[in-house]
Amino acid sequence: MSINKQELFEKLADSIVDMDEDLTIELSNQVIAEGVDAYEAIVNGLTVGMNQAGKLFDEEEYFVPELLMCSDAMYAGLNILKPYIKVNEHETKRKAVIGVIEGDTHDIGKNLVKIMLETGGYDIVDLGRDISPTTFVERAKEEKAEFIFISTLMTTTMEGMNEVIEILVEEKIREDYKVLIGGGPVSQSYADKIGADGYAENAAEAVKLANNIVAAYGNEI
Amino acid sequence: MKIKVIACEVMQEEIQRLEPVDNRDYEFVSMDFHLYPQKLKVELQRIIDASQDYQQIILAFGLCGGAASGLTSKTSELIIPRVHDCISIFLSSDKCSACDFKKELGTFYLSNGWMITEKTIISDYQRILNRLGEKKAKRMLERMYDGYQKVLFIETTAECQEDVIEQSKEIATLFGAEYLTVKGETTFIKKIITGPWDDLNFIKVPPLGEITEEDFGINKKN
Repeated sequence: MSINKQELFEKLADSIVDMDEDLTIELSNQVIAEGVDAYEAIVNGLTVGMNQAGKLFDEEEYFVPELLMCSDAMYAGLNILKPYIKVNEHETKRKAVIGVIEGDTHDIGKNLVKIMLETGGYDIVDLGRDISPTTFVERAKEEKAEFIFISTLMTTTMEGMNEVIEILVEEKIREDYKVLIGGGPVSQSYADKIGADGYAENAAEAVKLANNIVAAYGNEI
Repeated sequence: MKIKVIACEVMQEEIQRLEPVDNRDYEFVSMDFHLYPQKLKVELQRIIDASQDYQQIILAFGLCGGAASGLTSKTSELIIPRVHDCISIFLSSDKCSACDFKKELGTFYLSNGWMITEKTIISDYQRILNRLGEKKAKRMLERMYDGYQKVLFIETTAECQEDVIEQSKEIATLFGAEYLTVKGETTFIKKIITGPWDDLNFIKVPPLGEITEEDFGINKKN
């Protein structure tokens, strides 16, 4: 019996929006059992659901707790589907390190950006929170990352972002990385001031920003 | 000379309990803006613009997530404490530098005023609990607040209702964090209202000037 793929994807998306992790797991297993393409299920099911949840958040219908519960469901589905993605079929993923700068442990925003970037097809290494500028640079080198995402919620710790860039400049590797920043007190003008490559106001914008940079620079990053 | 005081609701009770000061008009701004610094900036600028018949405007705020950065006044002088946020105002008697936040990493601050907004932590928990059950509700708390090891309730001059204290303790329980209290200070709050506004602790911006992040010590060297 051929199943209606589109219907299955819609159900997957709805299960994310409804924060129904058990159902997401059941449907993801069904995707595999029915031989439906795992990559398509991620893009047209999980991602669509997470984007819808993000929209509800923007509309203040959902709050951070709901968004985190949606992402739990999404990750549960992703864990099942990921191993079935056919290798080499799709482009190599862009690699990034992400973290909250030293002195700050507020990581909800960073986690949301990470979720949306992973949903958007990026390979994200999460450094965690309260991360020193030196560690940002060292880990970016180790991971051969192209992007460094830095977040902070506090004005008392903002300057650490600047320090990351200063270290990159001192080590003459500034051009090897795109440094993108965000968080409550951060603004485009602050990004300009410290010479960051971009600022995003929220998680969805962060993905767009990264995509725009990839489109503009391609393999030249 | 009439002076306008634009203050955050978080310290409304503490301000109202000070000895009355002559020639002050007060306007309090809802704490709902705390999570939205950019919206707070717009609101503060709106009130400043509507208060141009005062020679001086005191902003009983800190940099508050960048909200104060960029504020300007056409005809009045602006005065604002040189602090990042109100925790410094509640805890320090005369020096904003008294709070070493690096040492206090993992501390969740509360006060009577703070409970106006932070009690939503309890309702968030209840909402998820009712919809998705205890396991998920606990996971939500873990995802949002596991960075906090300590809930520090600042006892100010505001008279706390019994249920406010109970709710603040409940937050500590939900976090699985230690609950501590500390006596707050009123000297700084008083100084904000009465002056003198010394340069160490206050930023004074003449008409047409602009409050900047640098005034608070951010990226000063640039």
